[in-house]
Order: sequence, then C-alpha cells, then structure tokens
Amino acid sequence: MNNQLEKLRSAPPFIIAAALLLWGWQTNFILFAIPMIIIIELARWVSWRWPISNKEFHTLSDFSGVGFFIVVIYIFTTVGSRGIFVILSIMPFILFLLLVVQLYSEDGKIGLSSLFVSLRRLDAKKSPDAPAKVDLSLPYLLVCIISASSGNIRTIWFFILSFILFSIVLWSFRPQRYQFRTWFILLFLAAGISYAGQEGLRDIQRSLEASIVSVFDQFMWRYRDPERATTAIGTIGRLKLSDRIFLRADSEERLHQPLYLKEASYHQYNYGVWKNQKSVYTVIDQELDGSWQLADVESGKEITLSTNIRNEISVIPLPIGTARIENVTAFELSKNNFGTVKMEIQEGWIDYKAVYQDKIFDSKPVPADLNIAENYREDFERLARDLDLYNKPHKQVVSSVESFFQNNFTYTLTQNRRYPRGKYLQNFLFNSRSGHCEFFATSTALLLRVVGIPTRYAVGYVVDEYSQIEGQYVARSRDSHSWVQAYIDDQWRIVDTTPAIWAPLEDENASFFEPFMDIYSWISYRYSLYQSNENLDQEETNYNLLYMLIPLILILVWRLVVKERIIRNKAKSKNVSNNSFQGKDSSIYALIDELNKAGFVRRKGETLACWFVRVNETTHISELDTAITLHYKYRFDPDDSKSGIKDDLARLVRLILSRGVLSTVAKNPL
Amino acid sequence: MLSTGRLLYLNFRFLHTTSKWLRHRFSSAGFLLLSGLVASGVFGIDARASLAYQIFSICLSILIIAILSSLMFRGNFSFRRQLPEYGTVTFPLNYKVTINNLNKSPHRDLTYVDELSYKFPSYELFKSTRDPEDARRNWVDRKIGYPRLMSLLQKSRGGSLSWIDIDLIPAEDEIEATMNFVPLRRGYLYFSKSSIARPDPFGLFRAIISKNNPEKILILPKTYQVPQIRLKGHRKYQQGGINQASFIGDSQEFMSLRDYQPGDPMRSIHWRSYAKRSEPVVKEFRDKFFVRQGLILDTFIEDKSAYQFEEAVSMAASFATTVEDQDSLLDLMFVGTKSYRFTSGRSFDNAANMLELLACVTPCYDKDFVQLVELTGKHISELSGMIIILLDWDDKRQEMVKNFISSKIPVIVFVIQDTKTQQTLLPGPLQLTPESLIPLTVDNIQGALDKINWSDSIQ
Repeated sequence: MNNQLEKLRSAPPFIIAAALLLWGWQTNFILFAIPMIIIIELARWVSWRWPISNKEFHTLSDFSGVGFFIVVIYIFTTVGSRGIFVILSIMPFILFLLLVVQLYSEDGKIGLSSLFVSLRRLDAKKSPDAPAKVDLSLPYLLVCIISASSGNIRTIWFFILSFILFSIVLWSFRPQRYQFRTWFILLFLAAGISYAGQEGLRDIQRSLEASIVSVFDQFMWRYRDPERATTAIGTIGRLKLSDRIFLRADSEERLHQPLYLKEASYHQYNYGVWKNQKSVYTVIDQELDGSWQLADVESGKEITLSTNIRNEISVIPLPIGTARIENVTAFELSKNNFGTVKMEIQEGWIDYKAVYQDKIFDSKPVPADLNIAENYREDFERLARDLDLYNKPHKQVVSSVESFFQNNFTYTLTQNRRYPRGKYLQNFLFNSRSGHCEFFATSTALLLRVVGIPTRYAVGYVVDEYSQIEGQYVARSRDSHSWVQAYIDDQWRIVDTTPAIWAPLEDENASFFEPFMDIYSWISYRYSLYQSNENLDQEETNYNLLYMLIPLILILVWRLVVKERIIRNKAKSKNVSNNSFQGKDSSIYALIDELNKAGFVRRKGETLACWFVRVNETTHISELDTAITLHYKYRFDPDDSKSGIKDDLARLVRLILSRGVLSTVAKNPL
Repeated sequence: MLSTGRLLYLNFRFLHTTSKWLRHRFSSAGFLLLSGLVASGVFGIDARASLAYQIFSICLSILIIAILSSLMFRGNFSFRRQLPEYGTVTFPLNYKVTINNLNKSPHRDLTYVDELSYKFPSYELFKSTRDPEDARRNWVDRKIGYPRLMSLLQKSRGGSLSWIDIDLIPAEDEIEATMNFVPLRRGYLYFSKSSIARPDPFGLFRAIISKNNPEKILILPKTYQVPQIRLKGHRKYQQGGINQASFIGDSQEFMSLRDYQPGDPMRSIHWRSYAKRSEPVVKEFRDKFFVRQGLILDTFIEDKSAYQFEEAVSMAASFATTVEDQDSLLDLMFVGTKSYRFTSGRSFDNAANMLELLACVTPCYDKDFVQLVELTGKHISELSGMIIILLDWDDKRQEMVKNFISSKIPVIVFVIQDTKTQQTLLPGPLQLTPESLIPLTVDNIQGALDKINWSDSIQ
C-alpha cells in the first residue's frame, strides 16, 4: 500500500485552492480558507525552500496528531456525539500545517514514517516501506472535499462543484491512449450514475430509518405506549431481547423477592394486542417539598430508580403501589386511571426516588375489566369448567389458576408453528402448554374474567439482578415482563402465573460480551449523570472534562520539548567529553608539538599529510604514514566507536617519540 | 471453536489477500479514490447529517465505470527476462525484461510487473516465529503481530517488485524494460508470473494480462571486508596428493620413476622412459604438503535470533571469498539437513560455488551440536587451522575449540552476538591467546572487523 502512496502525483495547479473555496463556502470558514489558499498557492511563485529534516517532519506530524486528539476530545465534550461532523469540518485546518511544510520543504514530499509512527524505528534496509515518501497534496484535496460535505448548504451546487473537482483531477491523470471523446462520454456516464446514486442513497436511508426505528422500538428501547401493547403472541421464532441495561434500582434494603416495576396496564385484548379504551390522565401537582404525591400515603419503602428517557414525555417504570415520587426535576407528572405514570422531563438518564407500599392504588375496576372478546370466550369458559372455577371464592379461583399454570405449563421463548389468527391462545391452553410471559398473563387475565374477577394486563420489569460492579440492582431489556392485576376482595393484587424458570431462561440468552457491555454501560451512565448535573449547576458550557486533557498536553510537551532536550543534552555531553570537536584528543597533536619543537614547521596551507611526507623525507620515520592514516580515521570517520583507533594511534605516537629520532634531528637542525 | 489467535491469523490472511488484490489492481490515484469512497461512506451513512453520501456516490460511480472499462482489454504479449547469475541480499538488483507486442496495433501507457512466488506462512509458523524487528515496533504491533506476519511473508517472497511504466510498444515489436528490486533474503527467489496492465480511461484501475513465466535467481549472502587469514599452523600431508590438486605451487617435487599401475593418470607417464622401455613408466612425486584451513559455521540457532545466524553466514561467506585458489584449501563445515564439508581452493570448486552453498544454508533445529563436533573431529588431522564462526560461547562450543587447541591446531573464533543479549566473553580455552576470540554484534560487524588488529588475532 505504501508503495502505491509513494507513486501518488501532486495535485494539479490551483485545484487545492478551488477545493478550499468549496470547503469555506460550505462550512462558513471562507475567511480562513482565503489566507490558506494564498499560503498554499504562493509556494508556486516563491523559490526559497526550507531544509526540513525527517526528524522535524516527525515532530510536526506528532504535533498535528496530538493537536487533533485534543480537538477531538474538546469537541466531543462540548458538542457530544454529533461532534464527529464538526471534526470532519475542521480537518483541512488540522492537516494544513503538514501540507504547508511539505510544499515549502526542499524535499517537496513527506516521509511515510512521519505519518505512521510504527515505521520510524524500522531498519530501512529490512523494511522497504520505512524510507518511502509521499506527496500530501492529493490526499489533502480529498480531505477538503469530504470536509466540505459536512457543511449546511444543501443545494445541488455542492454535488456539481465536487464532481467538477474530481473531473479536473481525473483529467490530469488521463492516460494518453484514449481519445478525448471516449473520456468525456465515460465521465458524463459517471456523472449520471453518481447523480442517480446519491438520490437513491437518500431514499434508501429514509426507508431504512423507518424500519430501524421500528426494530429499536420493539426490541432495544421499548418505549411504552400506555394505550396499546402489542404482544409477541403469534410471532414465530425465538424471542431475543437485548442485554442492554435499561434500568437501575438502588435500594437501601436488600430485595428479598423480585421487585415488580409497572409501566402500564391494559384491559382490552384481541388478536395479540392489549389496549385501553378510555385512559384519562390527571396532572399531579408538585408538593412544596418538590415531591409528587400519587396516593394518600405518607410513608413506605424507598427505592431510587434510574432509567433512560428518550422522549420528553415518557412512561416511567414504578414499583407497584408507588405513593410518592421524590428527587426528580420533572416539568410535569400525570397519572391515568390504570396506574400508568407519565413524566415530562429532559431526555437522557434520569434519577427518581419512589416511595411505595405493597398495596396497589389503581382505580377501581370498570366493566371493561371483565370483557372477553367473543372469539376467545368459548375456549376460556370450557377451561373454567374443566378446572371447576365457577361459583368458587375468588381467592380460591386465583389459587387454582396459579397451580394449574404452574403444574401443567412450561416456559419457552420459542414458537415454531403457525395457527389461524386468534387461535394461538387456544393452542397454548390445550395443546402446546408452553409459551412466554405474555401467553401466561393474557390467558390468566381472560380465564379469571370468565369467572367474574376483574383483571388488567400489566407490563413492566422484574428487578432481581444485583450488579456487583455498580452496587445496585439492574434490569435489562430482557427482564421486561407481563403479569396480571386481579381485583379480589376490594383490592388489586398481582397474579403472576409465569413459571419461575422464566428469569434463568432469559439469562441463558445473555451474550458473551455482556460483562464488558455492562462496564461500558455503567461508565456512560455515570458520565451522563455527571454531565447532566454539571449542566444544571453551570449555565455555561461544561469545560471540566477538559482537565482530562492536561496529562495529554503534558505528554505532548514532554515529547516535543523535554525529550528532545534530553537527547540533545546527551549528544552535547558526548561531544563535550571529546573537547568540542571529534578527534581533538588525538595523540597526533602531541607528535605535532614534538615536531614543532624539533624545528619542523608546517607551511601555510600545507595539509597535515603533506607535511608528514616532508618530515618523513628528512627523518625517515616510516610510521608517520600510518599515524596520519589513523588520525584521519579517528578525526573524520562518522562511526562513533573509535576507541580502538585512538589507542592504536597513541601507541604508535609513543613508539615514534620513544625512539628519540626527533630530538637527534633537533640537535642538528637541517 | 477457533482460538482468538487463529481468528486473528485468518483475518490477517484475508486482509493480506484483499490488500494484495487492491494494490495489484488499483493505481495510486485509484487507491486514493477508494479511500475517499470508504471515508465518505462512513461519514455519509446519515444522509441527513452531511452531504458525504454525494461524494460516496461520485467516487463509487467513477470506480464502477473504471472497473467495467477494464474488462475490454485484449492483447497478446510475450515476456523474456534476462536475469543475472546472482544477486546479493539487501543490494539493489537490476535486470532487463524484453516485452514483445504480438498484436497488430501499438500499445501506449502500459505498466509491467513481475511476481515473486511465496508461500503464505502457516499459523504455527506465525505463532512460533520471533521477529528481531519486533524490538523496533510498538506494543500494539508486537501484540497483534500483523507486521510480524508481513515480515515473514516478505522474507518468504524475498522482495517486492512494483509496476513500471511502459510508454509505447510498437505493433509487432519488442521493447526492453529495466526492473529493479532489493532482495530481502538469500537463497533462491522464484519468479512466477509476468503481468502487463492497461489503465482504464480515468487511470484508476488496471486491466491485467498475466502469463506464467517461472524462473529463479540465486541471492548470495552479503559479505564483509576481511583479510585473508593464514593461521600459523603446519602444512599437512593431503591424502590423494597433488593429483587431486593442480600442477602449480610446491606440488611437483619429483621423487622417482616406477612401473605403471592401472589407474595411474596419463599425465604421470614419463614418455621418454616409456619409449626406451616400451612399457609405461610413471613419475612418482613427493608426498603433498600444503595449507588446508577449516571454516566452521555454527548453524545451531537454538534461542538465538535469526539476525545472528544471517550475520554468521555473511561472515562465513566473507572468508570463503578470500581463499586464494592456487595456494591453499578451505574446508567449509556445517550441519544442515546433514553434515556438510565443502572444499574450495586449488583445483577444487571455487569460492563462487561455496557462496552458492552458503546462500542456501538454513538454521539447524533438529540435530545436536555433537554432530558438528564429530564432523570437525573426522577431518582434524588434515587441517592446518580453523576459522570458527559461532552463535554462542557456551560450554559445548568451548569444548569443541578446546579439542582443536589440544590437537595443536591454531584457531580464530568469531562469536556473533545479538545487540540485546550482548555480553563480555571469557576466553575459556583461548586464555593463552585471548585475541583469537572475537565477539561481534549484529548491528556493527564491519565496524568491529575494521578495528581488529589481525596480526595479534592470528596465532
């Protein structure tokens, strides 16, 4: 791949300027784009160039890279996930410095090792990619065009101008073997296809969005419709709900039994759908202490719940028998006659404390709580007769029904066979006797109704899982559950006939990645809470997270300044020990001193080697040749491991001086 | 169930195959446009958030047109390489290729490339190989191992050739192009295919015609500058005598005449005596004494790095090239798939053949060091001196050297050390002549060799 990049040609003249104009126009950075264009295009007219070394390119690239990360963190902190498009829009700024330095450098290209840190330390001989160099102008052009796409001006001109820019670049790469006519025909063909393609892509997104939202609604984030609940009765295949933590419950006391959190209840069933006919919401007034009183009860058990709200007005899960809601900054709270509570609040993770009792405060039964659609009536009456439920005390009926389901039915998430519409419950009751909670709750509700017990179908969550990571209870999407509220002895009570095996069976569906996702979920939850608290506390934007950048900046400073200095100091100290220039401690200087003393004077402009030859002619010291060779090697050879040469030279100089030839010559000057 | 490591390996394999195809098919501009396609695809996934989907559509349509137009490339070409006899590892190698256009029309703007065949490293090899270059890589690269796998693959292939431009080939004519690459390993490199490509009208995608064109080239190990070493041992009688050698040097010392015996060579017949006696008479010569040095290469890599071994081979090659053919013999001894002894000098094979052998020598994993000791022991009586290149200076290696010294054979020992595990070596059996033990580190062999005072080191 690197080889490919190495062969990349430079961009045609003025094309980067055009791309920057497009970018400036689209992103409102036109005031910045113009000086950038001047700096870039000036490189064509200015002849001077910087001699920039690879190392300086590396530093610059590191600087741009770290700068980029700082910008990314800053933008994500201030803008959130949509910051990705802000980052995209400023990419030409981030790469600008690298491009300018490349344009004004003597090389005119930048080493790949500057862009990829991993290549820097590789041996060039063993890794052919290590010394490769690239021209950044074309990639920069592409970055400008893609960055321009993040702009807000949504006219056809963006498409037309972008296509023209691409065409100019393609023209400059055009192989000579083709005729202009062929080239233009193909280009127009490409223009047509790309125009149709971009229109098609927009349409595909629209239709995809619609289907994805419905999937999300159904399986990932089940936004509860308080008027209607579509069950999976009649759905073929295996039900699979997400492991995603949907709700957190923090209770001071340990829960001794699963906690039912109700979202909504319904009283009319037909063809797999439970709904409410007349649901009247009453706005609850906020008390002076900020709490919201749902029932006339002062005390009870307390639990703090956290859940993610995606709509401003959402149904919130509450323990059955919730009397009061505290510690929540909702705009409005309303409750319907079926016990469903809707809250108007800012989207995101919200916390609220529920004070609850074991008593259910829903409105008294209405005639609709005894209705059974005609197509189900016969089956349930037959079953009630078989179970001998008629004319029995209601408590006894409930107990018989519970034991009937517990003893004769099994829990399963899979339905494999199709039946005529409306016959799924019949099959469940008389044939398969196997299903998930919606089968059990629906059947129980209708069975109790045939013997005159008012019932409502309730949906929500069952909280049973304690998270050691978080130190609180959690409920996942797969913990969603349905049960029955039956009105017995003038009060509502829960009748849950789903076999107790349902929760472990659901747990079996847990993904391998669940623990990791839980940790991620917890971190994002804490972060979200922190952010929302900060937003409440401060009117201005939250900059506190930017403190996280401090270590990053310190690393950058260390990398760019201190480390550099350490290396320089090391190099300096090495040089200092060698007396400011390499070879100054050579023993040859001792010999030169002695030669001077002996009267051999080096002529002006005479090289050391020539002088030694001249001396040799007089003194016949043959070792002078070797001495000068060793000295030159020690003085000028770039290899830094020269201690051996230095020692050899010292030995040789000692040998020459020990012979005393020079002193003899000195006594008899020539 | 696949382990994570194997899954990663399979992913790497897929990644390599894909990237190889992309590099083969896309020109540099095409590659850039492809990158633009991916980037705009990522940012354009939400058509409401940005207009990147329009860039995606432009890049995609241009690439589709480019790819479709490449389907119409037809042509008949033949290729002929003119490979040199040898190359040297890490030194650029050039060769000519003759491309013959057998079509009735000329072709412009073509590109040409040769492919070197290779075997994709197995998972086991990938897991077990330690790449010395890992020390220079960052933690992530070392942990994940993709660069290591690519380095293994590069070594298996031996080099990378890139596309060269061919401006014009006239109709029914041929042109000569020069290819160059850097061989990354010694041994035989195998060329598999020759490919010629035509760009699409946008110059982004290559339409390729490939032909099988298998050939091989031998890459010799690199060598260092070393002096010719003549260890101060005695000349020894060489069984087989001069008749196995040449007529030059001190070999033709006449001793007597004797009757011909079957098997005596024709060149030994003394023709004058034959004429006088009418029976063949042959010349008999004095026993043959001359210098025969051993060059021992330690191939037992054990836990040492591959670089150490490569440098040891280079050292052996360096000494092999210094043999003066007429004056002495050099016996190269090492253990590979079996025990090897290869003689060069006088009328035996020349140094080039020895280099060929060294080009193909591989580390020995499945045999014991004892085999090298036995091999050298068998020939100890014929040798005047030993140049020993070792990968370590442990007890068993010192024991071998001790045997030579006790047989009064002068030795010079080079121990190739890794930079990381480098340590000071105690002379051990060479305590009387510690200069004969020369430690060398892999990254500065020539520097260290230059510093050696050879007159001290050679006994």
